[in-house]
Amino acid sequence: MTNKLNNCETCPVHQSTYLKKLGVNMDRWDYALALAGNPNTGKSTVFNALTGLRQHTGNWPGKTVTRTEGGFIYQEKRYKIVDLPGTYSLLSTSTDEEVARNFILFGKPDVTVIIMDATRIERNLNLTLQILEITDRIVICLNLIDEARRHQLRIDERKLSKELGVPVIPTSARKGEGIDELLRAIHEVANGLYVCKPHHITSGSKSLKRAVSQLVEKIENRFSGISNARWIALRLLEGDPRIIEAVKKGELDNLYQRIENTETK
Amino acid sequence: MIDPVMALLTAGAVCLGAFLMFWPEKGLIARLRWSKDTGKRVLMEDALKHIYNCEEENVTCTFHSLAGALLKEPNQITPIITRLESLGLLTISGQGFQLTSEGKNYALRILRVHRLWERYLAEETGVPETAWHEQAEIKEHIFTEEDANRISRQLGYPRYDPHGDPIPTASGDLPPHRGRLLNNFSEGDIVQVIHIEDEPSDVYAEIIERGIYLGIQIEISKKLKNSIHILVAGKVQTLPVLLSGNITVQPAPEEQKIEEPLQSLSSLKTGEEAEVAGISRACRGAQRRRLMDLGVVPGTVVSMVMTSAGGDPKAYNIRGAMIALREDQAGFIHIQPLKKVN
Amino acid sequence: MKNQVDNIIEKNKITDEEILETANSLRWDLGENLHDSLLESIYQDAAEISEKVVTKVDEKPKFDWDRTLDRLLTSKWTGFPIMLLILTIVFWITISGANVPSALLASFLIDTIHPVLKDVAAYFGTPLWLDGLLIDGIYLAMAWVISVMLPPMAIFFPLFTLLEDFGYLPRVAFNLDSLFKKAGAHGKQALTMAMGYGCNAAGIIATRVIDSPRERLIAIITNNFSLCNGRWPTQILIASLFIGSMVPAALGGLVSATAVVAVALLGIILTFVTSWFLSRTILKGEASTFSLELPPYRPPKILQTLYTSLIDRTIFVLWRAIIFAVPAGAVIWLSANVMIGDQSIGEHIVNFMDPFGLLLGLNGVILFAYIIAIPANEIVIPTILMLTVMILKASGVGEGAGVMFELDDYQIYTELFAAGGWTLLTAINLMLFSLVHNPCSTAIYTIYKETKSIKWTAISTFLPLVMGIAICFFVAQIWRIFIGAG
Repeated sequence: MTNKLNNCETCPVHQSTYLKKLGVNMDRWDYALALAGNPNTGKSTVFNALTGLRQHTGNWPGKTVTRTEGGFIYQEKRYKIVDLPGTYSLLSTSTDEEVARNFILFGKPDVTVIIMDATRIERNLNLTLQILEITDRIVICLNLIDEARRHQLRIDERKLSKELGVPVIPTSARKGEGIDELLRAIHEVANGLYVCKPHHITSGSKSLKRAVSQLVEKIENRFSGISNARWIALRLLEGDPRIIEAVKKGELDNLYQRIENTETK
Repeated sequence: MIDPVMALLTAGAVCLGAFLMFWPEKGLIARLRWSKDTGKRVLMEDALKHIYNCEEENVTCTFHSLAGALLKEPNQITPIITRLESLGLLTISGQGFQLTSEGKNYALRILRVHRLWERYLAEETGVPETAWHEQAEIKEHIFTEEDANRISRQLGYPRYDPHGDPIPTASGDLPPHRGRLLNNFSEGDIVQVIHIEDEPSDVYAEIIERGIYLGIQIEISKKLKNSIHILVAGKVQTLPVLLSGNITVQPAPEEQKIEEPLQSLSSLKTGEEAEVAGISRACRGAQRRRLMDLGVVPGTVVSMVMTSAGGDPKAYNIRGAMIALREDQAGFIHIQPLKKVN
Repeated sequence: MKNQVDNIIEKNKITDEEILETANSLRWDLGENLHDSLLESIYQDAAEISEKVVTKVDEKPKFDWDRTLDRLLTSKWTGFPIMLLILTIVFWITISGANVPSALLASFLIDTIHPVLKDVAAYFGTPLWLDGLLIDGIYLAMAWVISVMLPPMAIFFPLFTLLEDFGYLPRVAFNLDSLFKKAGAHGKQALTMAMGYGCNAAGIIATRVIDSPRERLIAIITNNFSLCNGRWPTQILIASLFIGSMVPAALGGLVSATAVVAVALLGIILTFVTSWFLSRTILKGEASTFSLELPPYRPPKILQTLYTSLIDRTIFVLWRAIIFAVPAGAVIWLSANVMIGDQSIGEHIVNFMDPFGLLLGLNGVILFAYIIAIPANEIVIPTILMLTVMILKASGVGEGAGVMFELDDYQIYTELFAAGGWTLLTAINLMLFSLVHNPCSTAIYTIYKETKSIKWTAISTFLPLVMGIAICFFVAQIWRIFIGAG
């Protein structure tokens, strides 16, 4: 067991021992949040706005290459927040994407906050739709909404929320707009007051759909009640080494049980 | 104080000496490292590979064919064969040899490294296509099984090498043969390329030169005695049988239609707009995935915004973001004129 | 009851292996197109959704500041000159702004506090060796690091951060990419190079933005040619003393800034040359993929930038320098005061290295200082100063072994260096060697962590060292042949 955890860089257990070593008092939190998004959408700014930290925010894609962590207390609950490296996608094989993907899947954050650039919704949806396949505890932070207004874009965030099946909160983190609403939405999803029904991708070729459904059936049989069987099937079909390993080592089983435990708690 | 002229001369001599020592492949150190033992093992492994290929193609291997493949005199082959036999890797019967199951496994392991490495070069590096085979020929004798497994994992357990040959799995599994040679199809057939033989290398280079890649569609317009006329990417070409005999194809899937002559993104001028038609098959691996992550998929509207001070990377507006791409990369992206809306 | 249910489930249960086998067999048939069709379907959904939720109110394009600025910053004619101009202005502000506070800090920490400490120690009757080690060794080294490093850093970092926040760095990468491509490297190396101007370790971590392993290794190995903050003060000080002083005082600042820019440019040229060399020898291969997002310009928040760059960078780097200065100070004092025969250890070492140093157009003091300063480049200049004093004690300059003496302004440095036998050649070669030598221990450790390879760490360490020795050697010999026995 311990062996397994040592291999897993992003597991929360490993992380907390790591932090203890550093002497940062973050081994106690009620909820863990992950902050994901495309590069240069103002993730670090949102992170700073939530934690009161002053992480440097440079204006070039890929500024944040390592994970940074911070914390805050909201409505008497302690939140730990992890700023993941900005990525365009979770399907390629670069290191930063793997860090982000592994944390969202194996780190099992209570809420994943996706930062979207309101001026480039269509491009940002690529990553968003991928995360929606992995987890069902999501809040979307539609950042840079002031920029969008300046560019004469009108965005119907209610419709977007309905389409995606998750809360969508327009913000302008630079000016501090919308942060309260964002906190409330995070609180609601974390406490199960808002149950997400995330959009799953519908398009695709016939042969792919056939292969996926064949595999999904087996996965669902093996891990009953699993919510992201389709995504795991796709990863297996693409030969994703980390997911294959997870299946081999029964990590998915652990993962799934952990979710169950937290839900009954 | 040492005389500066003397100092310069001495330093020059030292540099020359170091160069002769460390010159890759031809320097003293490189020669020392390539010892006689390695040479013997390489010959044995190449012999196994050749015999395996013979068995795959159902021809009998002889001392002569083996000598030809290894570029040795037939009498130099005998000790290699005896050694292989004493190791239990093959049996000799009459004129030919058969691999034992152990020998076959050994050959498959070498093939696995070879094809994995070609895939690695294609996906993760910018090594030119014509150099893949040659480099893999060296690596196949150096890599251990663990190295192969590590590379395989890193690449996401790939199934095919960049020429379309299946990569044996760690347990030695291979799928049944697919497709037939291009020569075996008839006029009017529309086919898709699934394998291009990478040996001999000059023939392979010629095929690549003609813009024929894995996955591309070919229409056979005319069959002559020594050549085939084909339609590739909107252009008519004449392929000598020597070339077409190295191309394996299968009937094209019905959902796809034959590709039209296309322009590439690099031909776009400042301020012009176009729609992405697809990414060339020659763009693979990480490079291809990266482009798609950036939103380069069929149907995306792109416009050229500006050229850099150095002239080469150009910035394109792709789905709302300004993305800089190098000329050769933009060359992989096929475009078509915008469809008029309304 | 529960057991029975479990048993039934157990019987029909599909095992992990079965799932993997199914996936494996399906994979032979699916071929290589899976990723493509997957992303196509995601974008198809994305397009449908965004069509429903986004409406553009006004199609009329307004005057586009971003594009106008981009045209200026990336055009064929103005792109490179503007880049050089910005670089020169940043250094000029740094050099001319750092002079006065540096002198003030030095006179405060060394002329005022140091004697007070000595008096306090004497009052408590501290033993002489302890007093010497703590106050003359450790305290003085710290005082030197602070007074030499703090002012230029406090000016340079905020300026650099402003450029970074504004969005200029990606444009630099955009402009320089064609050169990087010719060198077989990745355009984003320009970004990591720029980060390296702050700290090489940070630049090496930043190479993670480069996807392909070959290009990433090139970027890691060549990052050392970006002058890091620990080396800026060396460049600035030596340029001001030896090169700025050759022209009238009014032009001094500008000329020294130009000299520093020249060294920085040489660093960039070396980056290209070394990248080119690497991609033709041990890291063979063609330049592969390049994609870079050019973000929109953002007006930088000046106050916040000042705050973050002071806290995050300046204080952090200064703290690191002080920590490394403490043992270095102790080593210097000890080497000056522990005697073997009639000479101190330090003198033995310096005398031993002097012939080789002179061959390179440097001297034994500089070489010994670079060995002491392996943990951090920041302390090179303070170490050289302290060692020079130590060697000169016999000729009666300075107060005592390994002790700094009073300083009023830059004048005293000049006298000190002249007494140490320095010439213009020594100064130029010190600037060159400071640019091209082994990375500091933090950078070496970072390289090891990032590459996980002893081989590449060793290459990154020794390649620049050998290059530095070679460059200094050739410059010195050619200088001596053509200009005279400098």
